[in-house]
Amino acid sequence: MNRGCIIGIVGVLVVALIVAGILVSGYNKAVRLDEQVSEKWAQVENQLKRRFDLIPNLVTTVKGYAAHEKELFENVAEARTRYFQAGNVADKAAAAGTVERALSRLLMLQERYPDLKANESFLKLQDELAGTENRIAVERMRYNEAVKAVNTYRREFIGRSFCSWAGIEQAEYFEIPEAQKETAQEAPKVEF
Amino acid sequence: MIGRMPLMVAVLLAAVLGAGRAAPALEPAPQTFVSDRAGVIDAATERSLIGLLQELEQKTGCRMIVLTVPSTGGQSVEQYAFERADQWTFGANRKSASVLMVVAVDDRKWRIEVGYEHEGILPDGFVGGAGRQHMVPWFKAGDYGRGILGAAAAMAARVAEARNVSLTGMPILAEPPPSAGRVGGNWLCPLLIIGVVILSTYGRYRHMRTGGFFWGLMAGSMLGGSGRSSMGSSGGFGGGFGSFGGGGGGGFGGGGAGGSW
Repeated sequence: MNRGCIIGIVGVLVVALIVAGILVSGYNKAVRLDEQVSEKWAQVENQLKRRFDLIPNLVTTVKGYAAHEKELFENVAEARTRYFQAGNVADKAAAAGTVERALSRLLMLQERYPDLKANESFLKLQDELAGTENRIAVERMRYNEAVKAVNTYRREFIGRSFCSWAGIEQAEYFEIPEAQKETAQEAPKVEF
Repeated sequence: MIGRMPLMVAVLLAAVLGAGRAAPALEPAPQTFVSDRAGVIDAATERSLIGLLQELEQKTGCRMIVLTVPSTGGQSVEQYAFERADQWTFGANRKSASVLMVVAVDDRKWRIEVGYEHEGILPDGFVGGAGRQHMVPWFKAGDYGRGILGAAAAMAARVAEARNVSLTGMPILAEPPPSAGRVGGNWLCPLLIIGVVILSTYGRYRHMRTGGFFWGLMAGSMLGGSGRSSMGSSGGFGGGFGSFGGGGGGGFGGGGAGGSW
């Protein structure tokens, strides 16, 4: 073998290594971005669950003062059930919005029952609920960032090939449908 | 490996050009425990507050930052506080706050943001209760310093209890002014307030290890008059807090409580 042959072989090997490196890192990036979306979604669900766990306490406290507001209690319970039945992200987002509205109506009862408004346990529960709403908003923001990263990579020139190779699907944003957006006095507004 | 270089360049380019969150540009982080941008905390109370917060961080590693502003400028106070808590780092070791207290004076809104690390010790209900018990009555009476000090002390006591330390600089708090319906002892309040000031100053002078001479000077000048003096540079962050998780750690998830008055 002469020198040119050897250089040629080495050159081909180098190119092959570079290409392999690119392929591996591209594939890994797709996988990593997808994992982040799952992880952030788990965080969102964590906080949503936390809110749902607070609801029974809240209902009990409110019932102590406004026992005959049966319709509101039923609305909250029904909205809660619908959330647990929802399958995909979009349905869950819609169900979460329904729960939010039912909750805020329940909380607005304090305007009609001043004793409830002065009750410290009720106020503390409200703090916990408001804190949870805040946390949900924060986790939603982080989840949507992760979704944006994956979806963008999926649309990019080379990224799209890696994504389809790794079997990464389009991720859904956690958006509350327009029809459900209502100004909830009690839920804090954290818009990012 | 030879193949890595162009790869790294490509990855770097992708990272730079790729989708990333553009963090909203915030004003730089204050470098003191208490930033009274609204100018509502009187000098004496500010000193007590700084002393308390310094001791709290020294003994428990909990960095509590107080910020007063005239207004959050259209943003909700929750968003305002969260952004700053999440992004600001303080001091030489660039550690973020553990708790951020924001009071928007003209908006009449307060918010206490609690980081992940302390969410268990300072649950939302407790923080809300501390705010309602201390901040709201004092704020309604126009005394912001005392309200903030009261809430900070309540939370500091809880953190200290959880970490099994005792804070010597804990101020003896005056009763908040009576809300409607309660019979108030109006002659008692000023006496208690003077008591707080004298005791906390004396306590500071005796127990502060760092800057004891400094506090002695302040005690003298403070007893002479209680005008507002700009003491912004006192109580800065030293490098001596390294033993408690310096650098990184923490982060904020939106926990805490808020309210209005």
